[in-house]
Amino acid sequence: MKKALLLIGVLIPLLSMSYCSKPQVEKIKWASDLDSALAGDTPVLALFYSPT
Amino acid sequence: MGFVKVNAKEDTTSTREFGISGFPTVVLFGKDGKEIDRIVGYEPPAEFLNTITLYKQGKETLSDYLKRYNDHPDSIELIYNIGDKYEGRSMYDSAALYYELILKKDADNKYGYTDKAIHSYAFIKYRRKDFKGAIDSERELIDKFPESELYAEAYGYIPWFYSKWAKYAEKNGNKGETKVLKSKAIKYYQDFIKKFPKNEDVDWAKKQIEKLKES
Repeated sequence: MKKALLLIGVLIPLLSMSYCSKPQVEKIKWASDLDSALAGDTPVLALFYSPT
Repeated sequence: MGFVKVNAKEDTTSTREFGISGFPTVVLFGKDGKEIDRIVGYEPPAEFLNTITLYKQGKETLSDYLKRYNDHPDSIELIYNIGDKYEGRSMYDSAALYYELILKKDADNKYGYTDKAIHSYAFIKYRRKDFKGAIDSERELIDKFPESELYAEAYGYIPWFYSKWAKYAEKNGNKGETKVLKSKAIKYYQDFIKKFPKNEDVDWAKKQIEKLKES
């Protein structure tokens, strides 16, 4: 019973606090069609790479 | 901001259209779809972010340098930066004009860009398949500026240019020339190792010799 209370009262709030305080990093959504991206009206960052 | 990954091996049209000469290359385009500027080669994250931020503000870009050059036509640093920007865009004729201008305006390397310009010009000559010209440029750097930070690098690139020249000759069926060029490449790699035994490229040079002997 004590363990259950400890879990509900202390650990869960602590864990959720630590999760919420993590910085939210926006994931980049990469497109692959450069022509379509350039036809839009926003700036574009294009990464040219050569797979080895 | 839109993000696009272009696989250069699959999308060869875009890669050629935008004159991509090395990987990775990141090109920043404005809302109008025109290039603002690019970063050729790897940059550490903080430096990369700083460069992109400056580009978005219209600073340190090719057009920014060209505008500033109009007001300061004697700035050797600006002339070098413009040459470097053109080179990064594979616009080798324009880049060569600016590098040549440095050789005329500052033959003694008073401002510290003449050795860099010679080294960059060597690469342009190599890309134009002018292998002898590339080697001559590196020799010019070695002879004129023994104090240059590019001194050892210039020594190391001479055999590399010879090996590329040998490959080119081999492709064109010139067996005799290929053999001579390969042996020169090996000799100059050995000279490099002897002259700069502690250089970080010594292992690379040894591997190049092995490859040349095996081929």
